[in-house]
Amino acid sequence: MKTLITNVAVYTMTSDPFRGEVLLEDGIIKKIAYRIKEDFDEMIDGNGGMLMPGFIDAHSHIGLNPDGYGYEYDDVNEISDPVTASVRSQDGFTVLDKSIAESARGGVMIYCVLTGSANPVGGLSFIAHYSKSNLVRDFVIKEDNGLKMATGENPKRCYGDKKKAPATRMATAAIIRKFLIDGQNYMQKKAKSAEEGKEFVETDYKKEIAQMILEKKIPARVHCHRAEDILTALRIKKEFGIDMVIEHCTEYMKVKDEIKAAGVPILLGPVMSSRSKVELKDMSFESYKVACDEGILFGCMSDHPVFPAEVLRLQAGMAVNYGACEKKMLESLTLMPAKILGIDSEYGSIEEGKKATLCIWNGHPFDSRSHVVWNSVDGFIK
Amino acid sequence: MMKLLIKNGIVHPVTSNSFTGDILIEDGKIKGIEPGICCDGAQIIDANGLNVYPGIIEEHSHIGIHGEKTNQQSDNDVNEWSDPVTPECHALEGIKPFDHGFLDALNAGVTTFNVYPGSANPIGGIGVTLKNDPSLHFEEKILVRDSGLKMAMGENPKKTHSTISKKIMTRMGTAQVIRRAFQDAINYRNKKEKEKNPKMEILLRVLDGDLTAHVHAHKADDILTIIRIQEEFGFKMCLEHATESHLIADVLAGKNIKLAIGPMFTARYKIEVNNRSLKTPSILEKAGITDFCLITDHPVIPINNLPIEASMAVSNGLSKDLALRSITINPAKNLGIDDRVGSLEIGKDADIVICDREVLDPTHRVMFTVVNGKVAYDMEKEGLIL
Amino acid sequence: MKLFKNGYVWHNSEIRKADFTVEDGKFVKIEAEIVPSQLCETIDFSGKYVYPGMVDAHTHVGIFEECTGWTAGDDVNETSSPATPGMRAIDAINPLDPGIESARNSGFTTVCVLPGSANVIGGEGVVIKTAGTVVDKMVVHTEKKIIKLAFGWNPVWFWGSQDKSPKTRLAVSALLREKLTAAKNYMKKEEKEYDYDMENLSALLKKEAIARIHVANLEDIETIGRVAKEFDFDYVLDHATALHTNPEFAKSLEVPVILGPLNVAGKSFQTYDLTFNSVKILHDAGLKLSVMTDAPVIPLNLAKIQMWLIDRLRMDRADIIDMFTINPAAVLGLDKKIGSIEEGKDADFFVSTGDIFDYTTKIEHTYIEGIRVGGEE
Repeated sequence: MKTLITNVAVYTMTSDPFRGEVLLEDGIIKKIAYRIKEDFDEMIDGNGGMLMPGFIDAHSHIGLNPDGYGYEYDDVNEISDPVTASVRSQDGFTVLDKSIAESARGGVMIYCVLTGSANPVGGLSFIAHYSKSNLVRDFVIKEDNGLKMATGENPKRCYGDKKKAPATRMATAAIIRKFLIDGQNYMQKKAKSAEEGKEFVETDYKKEIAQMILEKKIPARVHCHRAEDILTALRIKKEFGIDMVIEHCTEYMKVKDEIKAAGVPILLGPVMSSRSKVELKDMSFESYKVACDEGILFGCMSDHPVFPAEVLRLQAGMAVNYGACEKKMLESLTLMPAKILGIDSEYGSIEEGKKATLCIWNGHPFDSRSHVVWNSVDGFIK
Repeated sequence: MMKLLIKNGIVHPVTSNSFTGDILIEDGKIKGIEPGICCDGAQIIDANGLNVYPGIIEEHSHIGIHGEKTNQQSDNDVNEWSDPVTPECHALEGIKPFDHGFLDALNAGVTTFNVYPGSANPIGGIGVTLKNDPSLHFEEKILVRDSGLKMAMGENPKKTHSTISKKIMTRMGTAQVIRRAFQDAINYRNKKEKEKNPKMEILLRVLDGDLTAHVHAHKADDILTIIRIQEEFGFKMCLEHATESHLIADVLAGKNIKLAIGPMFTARYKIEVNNRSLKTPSILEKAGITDFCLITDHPVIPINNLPIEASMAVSNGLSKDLALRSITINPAKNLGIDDRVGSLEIGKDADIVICDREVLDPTHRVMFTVVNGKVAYDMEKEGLIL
Repeated sequence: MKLFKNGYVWHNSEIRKADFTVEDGKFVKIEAEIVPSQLCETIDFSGKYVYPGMVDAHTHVGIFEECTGWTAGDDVNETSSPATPGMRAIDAINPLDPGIESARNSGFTTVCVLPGSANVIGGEGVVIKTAGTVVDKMVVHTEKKIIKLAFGWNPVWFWGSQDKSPKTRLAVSALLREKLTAAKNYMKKEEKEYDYDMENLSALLKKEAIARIHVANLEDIETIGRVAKEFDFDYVLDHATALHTNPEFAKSLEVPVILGPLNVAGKSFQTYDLTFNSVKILHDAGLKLSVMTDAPVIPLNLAKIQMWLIDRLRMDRADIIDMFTINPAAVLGLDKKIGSIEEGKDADFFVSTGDIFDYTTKIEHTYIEGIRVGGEE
């Protein structure tokens, strides 16, 4: 099945936009050119619109607490133990969430679904691709791609209020450290029994996940708002030599040099919300501008349903309003989060050989009046 | 003028003999009911081989007030358990007008249903009777705004209030709460100077015979207690559930008390339903009590089980005639709406259910539900919804 | 030897006039006509209908007793921990539960009694015949142990409302994975102390047991599939409320499915999709279905209401009867022993005054292993 997309401005994300055509074959981008003279089975006339990769929301809770379902489907946070490394967001994801279709309306086609931020060590995340199926498996493009961790106010509130640890930021850090040290001990034990030629009979489901982190198979995805929390996370990263992404990163501007030096990617947002917690005091759209200027790897995130993914594009648009580079902000919705999630070989830009997760817009997505008129899952949208 | 003609059905008017023939409907009312009616310009339902009955009436449900297909806690507004005496609460204010229960009822051929508050309080609140006409706005569906005062005896008030309000610990407590409430109302009436008290105003309506007390009672002792209270204060009463009524059928036969029996299909979880029997209706019939109705308490059991309760009663000895009455004209009489609904008669509301087999055969399919002369459910068009 | 004569017998998926003999609790011969011999006790079923004893593969009778109020006879959930794999339903069954009496009076001769669904791992279920006073004598031996598991709202609601884990669906699957990992360790250990919990979970991993999984929504059914693949165990989907929303997927799972209880209202979000129509949808998709009452959720004497309501779907009545007889027997691995009137099988049957789809029909006698044990009054 060959599909030719014609009469569009192609926003590849790796080059300047140009008027041209894109040929798809069985869901893969085959050719990108000004004119393509090849046979095709189906033609999509973009009517002069903008062809872009589907947006990637690298930090979302979509499907874990569908709108209007209340506690019965609230599967964001397992607030029973500060360390729940063995839970998987995939097991809580429900396709009943209306926001899935609404997000697609806003151009968001790929989301990394994370567990919440109640636990210092939360759970495993997965990456989903928008689908019309009612099966979770048709959404999944990458399982267990990261382990959620959290610092700051949330764990303190969820446990400290019940007179349990963590009651302070100190204990949150200590709990994360203990989780990783337990993992190190566990690996040593495994190595020892391998040395002795014995079968290992103490497999521990949670510690296996610590091992994945320590072996850098997956990154720690650490929820941090305040500067001190960001610095704590960076300290832990250094101590254990693990991969890390800083999530939210509200006080980024205060520690931009440390972040650049550590070389960690960050996911900024949501900024388009109220300052509902103390740690959001210095939240600002300016962070995006600084991140653009600094040239670091960053993504613009929704934290859906905190900020609805459907309007993620407008948050990026507001960043431009604050002086952020428009081209960079488009990248922060596409190629950069793809890199952060490690899916950039298949998604995030319009390049030959990549998967055709695409949208045609009838105007710039940063303009609230624009629509997605066609996407690669639904086809033309009425 | 809207005209609908139901042709060649096996018509069961309930209050008269069954025959094969036609029903003409004009402006929502039954205009003619006999064989061989001709009418130009009428919409025609071919009921050849089908059974035609008056719309089924549910005397006791919690449709809409106990939200379905939703988050159970957020949309459950059945019991205002903050206090044992809440006559000023009205089921009308708790009903979700777009609740799924309305559809369940329609697909089951239930054209009129009554909604009560729950049974957690000895004096729970006021019920409302609704016409299940999907073409009407919610307020227009109201057939009887104040259909009765819901009261409750037995386990439920005891279980609720011994833990929550701590105002009732025993059955004695429940009885006294009710007695005191009515005595307070009498004292209130006798006061010369008073501020208006909405609770008392409603209890006075019960004492004046303007509102019927619908009392949840399972066990024979609870039934006898509320009869004692009813005779002391002299109000109109209908017993709801009346699970052990067959044990005291002779006592009940001599009283001017109405009965609403059911739900007959739950497990015997509660001690007070240990003696629940499928034979209750037939025993009552033998004792000469023929004005009782059957109830599902939906969603306690699904509302489409209402005719099946009647079937089960028949297979346990109830006459077919009374079985049919117990889900049509009897609940209508019980709710005081038998001038409008409950049987197929000229001048009555055109609420009609058409089934492929006899309605008492539990394998029947509802083919059409007609409410106020309009086809509200058409199985062929909308598919079988079970 | 007993000879039952002149009845209309449900045999090979149709009703026909036949005589049959029973010896040592088994059907010996089923033929159009058997001539009585002097050694035979002859029982006349002229004008009566004879059906195989019904089987319900998912009940709580005996451990969730009727007529005892809310707590005295309620031993269905051992809610001291969310994982109690070592619990055994047999230890709590009261054979005198009125629910069991009404089961046999209404034609049910074999039931599987399972622990409840409050715990992620509930414990071991057991199959019993519905007559007797000593449960050990009522037990029907199954080749595989039966281990009850639960996904979704029930464990989350029960434990979460007490501020304990699991509070979310995330933790349900995590708990199961953790426990199965522990069982794997236990199996590998050379020197070990006997552990009831671990033995039952090891049995599951060794496929000496089958998991019976309480589940409602489609997402959880998928999660079960993933966990079962990771740990390689066999399972049955119980309730499976939303399975019909993707019949192709349902078919692809290739696992037994027990639907029900269907005749209930008051649906919550996680039972949103519950409908009788799912029986037809899944049947048409090619699944061999069983229907449960979850007794006492629906008492077994009212199981026939579900049968009647399914009949409104106008399916082949033989298929409907199978859902209450041979199909649940197959789920329990007992289809060579019970579930139909066939030579060599247990002589479990009931005798009614007419067709069972006719509501005026009465069940006059129920026989278990050739002995009359009850019937409707």
